[in-house]
Amino acid sequence: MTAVVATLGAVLLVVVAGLPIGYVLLRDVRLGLLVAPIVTGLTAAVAVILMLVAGGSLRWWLGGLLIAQWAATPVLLRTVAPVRAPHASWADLLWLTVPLIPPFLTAFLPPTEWDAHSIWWLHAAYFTRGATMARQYIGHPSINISHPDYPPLLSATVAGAWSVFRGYGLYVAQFVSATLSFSAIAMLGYAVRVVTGRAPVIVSRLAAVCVALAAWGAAPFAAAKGYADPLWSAAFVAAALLLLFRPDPLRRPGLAVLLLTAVALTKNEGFVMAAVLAAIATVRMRHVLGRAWVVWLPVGGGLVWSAVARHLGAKSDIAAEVDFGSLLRGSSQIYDRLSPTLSAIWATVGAIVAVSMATAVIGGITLRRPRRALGLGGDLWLWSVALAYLAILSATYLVSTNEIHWYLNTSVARVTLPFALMAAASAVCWGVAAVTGGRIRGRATSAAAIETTSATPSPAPTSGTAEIGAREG
Amino acid sequence: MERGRMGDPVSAGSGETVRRWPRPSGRGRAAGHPIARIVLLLLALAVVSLTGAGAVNASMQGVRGGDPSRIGSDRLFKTQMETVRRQLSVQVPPRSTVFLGGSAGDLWYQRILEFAVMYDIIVVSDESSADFSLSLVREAAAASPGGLRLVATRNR
Repeated sequence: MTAVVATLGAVLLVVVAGLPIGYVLLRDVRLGLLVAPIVTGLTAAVAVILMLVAGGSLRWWLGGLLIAQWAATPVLLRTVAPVRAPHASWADLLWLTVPLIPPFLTAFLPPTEWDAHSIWWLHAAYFTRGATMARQYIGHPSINISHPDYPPLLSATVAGAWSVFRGYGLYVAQFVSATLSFSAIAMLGYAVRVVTGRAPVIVSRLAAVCVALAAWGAAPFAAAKGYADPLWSAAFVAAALLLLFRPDPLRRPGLAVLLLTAVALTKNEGFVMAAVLAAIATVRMRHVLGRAWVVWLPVGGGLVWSAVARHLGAKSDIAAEVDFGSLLRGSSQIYDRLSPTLSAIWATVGAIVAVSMATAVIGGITLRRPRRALGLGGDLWLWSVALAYLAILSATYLVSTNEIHWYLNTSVARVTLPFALMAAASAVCWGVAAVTGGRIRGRATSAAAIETTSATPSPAPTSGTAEIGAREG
Repeated sequence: MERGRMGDPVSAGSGETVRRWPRPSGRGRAAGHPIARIVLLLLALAVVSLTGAGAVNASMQGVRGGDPSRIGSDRLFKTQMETVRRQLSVQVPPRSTVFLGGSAGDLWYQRILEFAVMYDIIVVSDESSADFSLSLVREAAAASPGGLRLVATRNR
């Protein structure tokens, strides 16, 4: 089998395997195809966890889970309420995908990126070898430099492809990784399309493209060349927009929960930020607390992986090497790292964040009402997530024992991607409010969606929606 | 129903007070001061141009076949990786232990670690406990693609 056939086959497999659940979730084949790689990735991650716990080979676990998903699809289609996701059209599909193709051409470049090999594809190699070898390697001291505690989604998907298309093809790994990133970035664009859906169609579609194209940020090599940062960052900001900007986040929460689970099972900082987002979303939905538990499911998934990896002896570079006591005692050795850390973050995304914050402040003063008329939730929720990420990212650099300048030089361009995406999303949403001035697409839609004046006790979704929107004002 | 501020209490007509969303502007007059809207739009466009630069950069690299300063070295490195991987799988049997001397550097240590996993080989840090010692030597590209050869010396 040639490398080209194996690569094409692997991409096709990753897309087709997740299509049934993608379709059940969104009830549209086009959107189902876009989210399918994430579904396949989550299935592969679950298969790896089951393999590590129960033994056996990844091929059997992943194959079994996918067959079960396909078999369950007719039942799910009958039992799950058939609510079609909005903005499902060929035009939207093209707007969400075609602009992403040119920057994804970098997937054709030689697969030589350091972290892709040293972390994600190395993990994929031992997952491909089956439970016995994977358990042995995860706890082996020689692998510690490879962060074996990192969650398995990306590596598990590559391992799934390698289990079918044998030979550990590096282009197979690179294209499968790129397919996952493509899906997450397309879903980020879709999330923007959803939250700005009351604006005129062309404005909403342009907004979606602008935010999606921010996913290359300061690390243009990352999205298509095997890194996990664009994958988790795009999925994370997409979930944040769906949970924090929609007036009714618990109406059809499936996509947000799916994306957030992918975040928690892709990278350690993703897991931490999934918990942060779940907490902030819960505060936002405090008046419908009984139904907010669903946003904590992804955190549960991350905890399960964490427990399994720790049980197998995986060492975290942060937890294993740092002295948290020094951080709390205010050790000068720790705090000497603060200045270069903040300087590097500022040099990478400072200008973007500063201009975006200025946009948010001016918008908050002058265009709050048009923004509300578009159904966009309060911008402060998103900025509070960004602030939490700044604290967590800074603390990570402070407590690590890696030489700080080397550490920053090799990572800051990638790990600051969530800032760029949140800044872009915030500014673009204010831009939509500025362009439209609150004029929305058709009165009939707006009257039903925005005017929530139920005077009598109503079913939870409607009353909850009204409460969240009203009290944010 | 009359217009009201976001969250203003209004009568629902049945004597009960409820909260409501602001009435949308519909297709009519836009809300917000025109200058503020223009300023905001310009700021948003500034953010988009800053954040979109990476995608433009990646697109140009994709179309050109790579970063011009790295195209040659990336292709050479890819060839060297394939050569070293193939030679490792041919020279070292599965379930063997190997030791790689420090002269190879971090880059090749980590690549060989990765390739070793693919072929059930364990990399150890103590040469005396290794079945094979590995070293990388320069060689003519005609003899070993990429100009690099992996040499595996049996220790026991």
